[in-house]
Amino acid sequence: MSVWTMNPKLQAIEDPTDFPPEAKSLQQLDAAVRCSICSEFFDGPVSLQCGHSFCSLCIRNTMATTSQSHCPTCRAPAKESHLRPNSLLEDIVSAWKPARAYIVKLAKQDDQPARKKRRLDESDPPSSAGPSRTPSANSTTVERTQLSSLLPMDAHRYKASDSLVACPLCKAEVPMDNINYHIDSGCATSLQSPKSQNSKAQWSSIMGPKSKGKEKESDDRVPKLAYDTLTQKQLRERLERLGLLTTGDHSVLVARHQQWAMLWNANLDKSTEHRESKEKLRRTLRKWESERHAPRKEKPAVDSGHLKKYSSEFKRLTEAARVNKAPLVGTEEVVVVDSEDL
Amino acid sequence: MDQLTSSLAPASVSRKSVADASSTTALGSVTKRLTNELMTLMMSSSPGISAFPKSDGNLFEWIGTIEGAKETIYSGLKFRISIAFGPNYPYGAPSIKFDTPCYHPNVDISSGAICLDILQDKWSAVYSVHTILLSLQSLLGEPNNASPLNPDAAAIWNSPTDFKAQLMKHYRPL
Repeated sequence: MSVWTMNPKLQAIEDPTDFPPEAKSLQQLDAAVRCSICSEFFDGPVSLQCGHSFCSLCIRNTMATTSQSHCPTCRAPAKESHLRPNSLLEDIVSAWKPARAYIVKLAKQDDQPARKKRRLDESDPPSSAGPSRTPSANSTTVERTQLSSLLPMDAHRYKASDSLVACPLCKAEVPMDNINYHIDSGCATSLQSPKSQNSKAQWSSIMGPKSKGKEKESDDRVPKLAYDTLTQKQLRERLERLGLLTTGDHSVLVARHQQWAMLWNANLDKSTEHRESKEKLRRTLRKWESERHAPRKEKPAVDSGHLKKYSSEFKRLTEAARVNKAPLVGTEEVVVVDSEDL
Repeated sequence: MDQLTSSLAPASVSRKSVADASSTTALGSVTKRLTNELMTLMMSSSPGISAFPKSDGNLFEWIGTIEGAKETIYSGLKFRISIAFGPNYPYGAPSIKFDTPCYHPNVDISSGAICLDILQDKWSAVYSVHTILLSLQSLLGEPNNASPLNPDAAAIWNSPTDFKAQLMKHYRPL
């Protein structure tokens, strides 16, 4: 028990209790912008008809896993087609994240007795100038760290769009180097079916290019398939068209397509600036597949890392124990048991 | 590039059965949610319930304690329960059983299995260890005698003296 209360991993968890009990409204606010399924801040929040909101991926996962057709909170009937992106909630979350960091920081400073004292006599002009200046300085540092943490993601996105470009005719993603050959060959290298190409190309020639120039990925959702009616070959073709692996037996192919549809469609529920790149989603899918097929290997991994990290410490303790226990017989055994327990 | 390298290892992929196709979530997110729940449990001091992971390295198996609510027949008795989370938690319910023998209409006295709808078909991903423990605590005082797992207990529920005698006969203090 004591191990867990002292666990630094646990201490680092951000949750509503980061705010002091007297700031109950802040705790409530922090709890309100969290998904009740994953208890993290909403990531691509969607709302159901009953008004309850969840991360898009969480509720899609719930509906897919349990084939439940009701809201997890109130059990009102709900379908995947009912999901509506809640952009207001998304904006609130992205504003709240830096705001809470700022408030928590202030609250911690407030805990220091020196500052508390200074707060009390704010009627005194010179002393009130002090604390009011400090927060504003803090706000810029908070903002700066927030910005810099966003930067790599954006950089990644632009890099991704450099290597692949959307063909102006068929909208397929083609490597930059191959685009001329692709167009010259009448979009032959495209993986999309000719039928949808033509209609799409016709429409885009009428409607003009899409307004979002930098968005290389189409906004088309991946539809659910009637997997039982598809042959393995057809499934592979579908996966190939999506740029996914085509290895494995039927059940693996189906699971992969389902998971991809979920990841992809949930990603589309986010506003464009919060969306992940297709490459990132592919990596997520691969990670999911590898974890799915290596069940519960986590514990030894954690332990060995822990053992490695503290090996010198353990050695030192073992040595110390040896010295202490020297007069006793059979000390070796005792020591071995001890180190295993750790 | 990554696509190519990972395609070199299809053997382990194809060997798996459909059975675990239900685990649609990454283990990382399960760990995260469980850590969050642990935090919530420790911060919210609900009287008579507590739960902790069995060991330091493994978040997937917990030990919980439930104390019978006041003014119920279970008042003052403490029960140990074990909670095991599957890789698809919270989309699937954890498996829960009483470790301390519990004489109760909805609990199997020998295996400790519990008959409670929210742990079976009525499970929802928004439930947590905290809500489960609270539900179990209230189940102790208010059994569902319509679908008993222990018919004998259900039969004598309405005669508290007999029930208490049976209860104490099976009970083992922690």
